[in-house]
Amino acid sequence: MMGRADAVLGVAGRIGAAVLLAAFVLFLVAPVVVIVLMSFTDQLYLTFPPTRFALRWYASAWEQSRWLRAAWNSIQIGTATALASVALGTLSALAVTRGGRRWLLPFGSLVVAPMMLPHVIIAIGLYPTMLDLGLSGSYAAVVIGHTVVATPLVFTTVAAALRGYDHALELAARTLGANGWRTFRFVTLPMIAGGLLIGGIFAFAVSFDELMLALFLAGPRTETLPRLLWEHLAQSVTPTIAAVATLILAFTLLLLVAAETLRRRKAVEPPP
Amino acid sequence: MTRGASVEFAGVSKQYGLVTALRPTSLVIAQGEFFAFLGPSGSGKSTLLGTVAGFIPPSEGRVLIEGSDVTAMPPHRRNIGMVFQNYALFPYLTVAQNIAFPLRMRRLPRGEIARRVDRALEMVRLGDFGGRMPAQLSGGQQQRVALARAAVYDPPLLLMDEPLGALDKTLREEMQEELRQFHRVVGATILYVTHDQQEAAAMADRMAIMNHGAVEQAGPPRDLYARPENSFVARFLGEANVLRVVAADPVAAGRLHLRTEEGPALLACGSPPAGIACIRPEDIAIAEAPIERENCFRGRIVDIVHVAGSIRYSVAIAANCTLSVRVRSDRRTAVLPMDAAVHVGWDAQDALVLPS
Amino acid sequence: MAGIGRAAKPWTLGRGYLLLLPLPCGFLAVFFVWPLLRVVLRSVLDPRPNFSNYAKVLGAGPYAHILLYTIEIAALVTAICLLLAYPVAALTARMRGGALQVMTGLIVASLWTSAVIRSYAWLILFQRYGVVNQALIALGLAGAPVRILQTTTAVAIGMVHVLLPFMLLPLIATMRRIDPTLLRAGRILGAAPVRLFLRVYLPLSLPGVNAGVALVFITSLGFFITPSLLGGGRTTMAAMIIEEEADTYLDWPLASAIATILLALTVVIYLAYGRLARVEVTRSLR
Ligand SMILES: Nc1ncnc2c1ncn2[C@@H]1O[C@H](COP(=O)(O)OP(=O)(O)OP(=O)(O)O)[C@@H](O)[C@H]1O
Ligand SMILES: [Mg+2]
Repeated sequence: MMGRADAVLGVAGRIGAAVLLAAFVLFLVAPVVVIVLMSFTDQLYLTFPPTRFALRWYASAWEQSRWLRAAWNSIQIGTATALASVALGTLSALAVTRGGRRWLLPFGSLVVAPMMLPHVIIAIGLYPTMLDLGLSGSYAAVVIGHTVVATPLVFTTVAAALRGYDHALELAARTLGANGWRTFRFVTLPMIAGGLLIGGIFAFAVSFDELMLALFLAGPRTETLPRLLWEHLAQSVTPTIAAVATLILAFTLLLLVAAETLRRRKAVEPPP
Repeated sequence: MTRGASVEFAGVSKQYGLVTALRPTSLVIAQGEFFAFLGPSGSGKSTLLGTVAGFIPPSEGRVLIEGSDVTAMPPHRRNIGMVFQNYALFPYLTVAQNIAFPLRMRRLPRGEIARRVDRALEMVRLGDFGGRMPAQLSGGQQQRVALARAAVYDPPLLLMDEPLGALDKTLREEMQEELRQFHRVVGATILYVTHDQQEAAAMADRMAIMNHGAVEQAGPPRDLYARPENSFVARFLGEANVLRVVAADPVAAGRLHLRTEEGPALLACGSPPAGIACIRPEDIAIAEAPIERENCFRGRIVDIVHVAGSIRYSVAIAANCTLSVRVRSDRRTAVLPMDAAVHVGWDAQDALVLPS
Repeated sequence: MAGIGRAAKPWTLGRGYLLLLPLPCGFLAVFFVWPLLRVVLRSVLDPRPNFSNYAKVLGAGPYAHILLYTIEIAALVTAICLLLAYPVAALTARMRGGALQVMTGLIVASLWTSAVIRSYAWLILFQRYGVVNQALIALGLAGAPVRILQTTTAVAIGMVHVLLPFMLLPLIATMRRIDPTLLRAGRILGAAPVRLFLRVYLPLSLPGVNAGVALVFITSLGFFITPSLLGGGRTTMAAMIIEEEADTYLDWPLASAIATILLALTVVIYLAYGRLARVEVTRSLR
């Protein structure tokens, strides 16, 4: 598997490479492992390694209705964000890749720009805008803020999917008698369905993890999981947070595996 | 059998910024004709076809189908069928569903759709393949599915952009035969784009030779070959010995005495202006003895190539003038030896005089 | 059909797709462009139309210092990321099969792991009696627990951890496209390994380096979570001061001025390198 590396590196190099990779992997996963272990401690204070394993902090998280409400808020906001971003990202990706105008390329850059900007700038701009619109603290405000930063991911995923197949398929549908909508419905949509779903999962994940916009735009009623986590972190560091964090990690990993499975399935299509 | 539709290009042109893809083109294609567009890569063939399909809006001019202007009409209302170079079959639909697609778009009743799909599958000899996915078919089979899909709703006009381009040579020749058969049965007008002159000549009733975004000449394949109007057409179709004319003197009615840059002076039929003279290799006779023709030159064989059914000699008749001569041959034909001193000759009417 | 006189305009394929634009355009205009414009305008119009906010930011006081510190730490983090990621990416790019999948899986999983949670993990590790201090004492590197939290070191380590995937993914994508026969040919021709690296491998991997550097630098300029948790109270970055001015002191004009400077900085780098970075990112995320 590393045949070519062997030839280039020699024995000493190979040992060095193995050590480097091991150190890297340790650096990458150690903090996460620590959190997971912490969540199962039976102590009140954070000590590592934990002495005995217990589920008391999970129970304590479950008992605090605020965590549950925040989780439910996050899921609702994430779902709405995913839907809105998929709609907006797909519309812009279609226009940019199929519109055939030169000025559409700069428009594409504008669509992806929110991905590159510090969220705090968008947040302090959106806050007064939401006030003006009377949306401050509402679900809509958070969803809109998250949609601004999640749409770029959907856009790039869907644009890639649109460029990934022969445009002649759509032209063929047109000559065969399909109008614009039916061409989209019967040709474009089946061809990009995988990309749409993956983009939607990405958008959900972005929203589920977003803190800054939630800090400025959410209210007490609409507070999200990261925001509540943040608030707790500012006050005290109890193992309850580790339990919640572990659950969030597990959920994110699940989403990622789902997206990856979809991507794989798409790659091996068409079926038998 | 459908009645084919006529197509008219009225001054159609296409600019992409500073690039001219198509210069103003006017052309009329009759009902039921098999019309081929032939030309080198980038000569504007696909652009011209695109203006009929509706994918490419012309910069100037109009396209008329059956006498009505369709320039402003979207493709799905033009009622045309199109076969693409890579077939453009929908990969997520079965063969039968692919063929049913245009019928579904036309909201035909389900029974009618099934009946027509079966008939179309029969026509392209894919009766048992309806349930397969396109990826499970060979190139030739995919090609036939594309054809069935484009023809199943009996469009009076079929567009084909290098439909055989992705097939190997033997399969291509087989499909040429099938397409001609298909044209006879279906009766639709077919606009056919190719850059293979043999394919065009074998299939088309008429064809247009395109170059640099313009139609150089249009007509039946034989006419184009026999009476090319310029050197591009002469050279593009078959082979031609081209001599550049430096002076042309009329000697009799319709006859010219030409002096050429390459050296030889010759007699030819035609009228000024005379820019070049073309002689087809198969119109030149070759023998060791002098030849009884209006033009006869002594020369030396510098190259011999055996092609199926014929021999091609290269004969040097002047310092920088070598003519290509093709002779029909079979097993009994005696082959002249390399370096042999020979005579080549042709009549005045065999030389074409063209303006440039 | 077409009358004599002026004929109808030719039908074009693109026009139908352009009809899709108003919705995303309107959304972006109201919820992205206008808010940004608003920040910029506020920085010069509020409380009265002049540059007093900028004078305050750039003059005496902590703000200019914080901005400089932000750029410094972004540069430091970018450099560490590059140094760490380059050899790891080079090794990963040579892998195939299972090993490659495990590595990319780890990197992508790390990319999707909440930054809040990861920074929280470092917070635990760096505590006074945390694992890192225990290890330092056990190894004899320190006599008594040292303060790690609230130092630039802690912030930098946390940020590197969060940002490594952004450096690794474009690097790996570029390095995987380097043709191994080029290197083999170079070796056969007798080039020394160092020369071969400098003359062949490094130049070919440069697009990935550019993309990674731009991406990591731009992203670190706006970092908030990690420096707040690990450096809180002592080390302050631009995003933190913006949040604080707006949320705690309600000095929106000043927050807007700092945000505008940060925005300008980001946009300049984005325009200079952004095209490169974007292409690489979309490719690697796929
Ligand atoms: N979208 C475009 N933008 C700019 N130039 C174009 C575009 N489409 C085609 N052209 C140019 O127009 C000319 C004609 O193109 P066209 O596709 O019609 O050629 P063709 O005869 O079909 O060639 P081929 O045999 O290679 O398919 C070419 O020079 C091409 O470069
Ligand atoms: Mg073409």
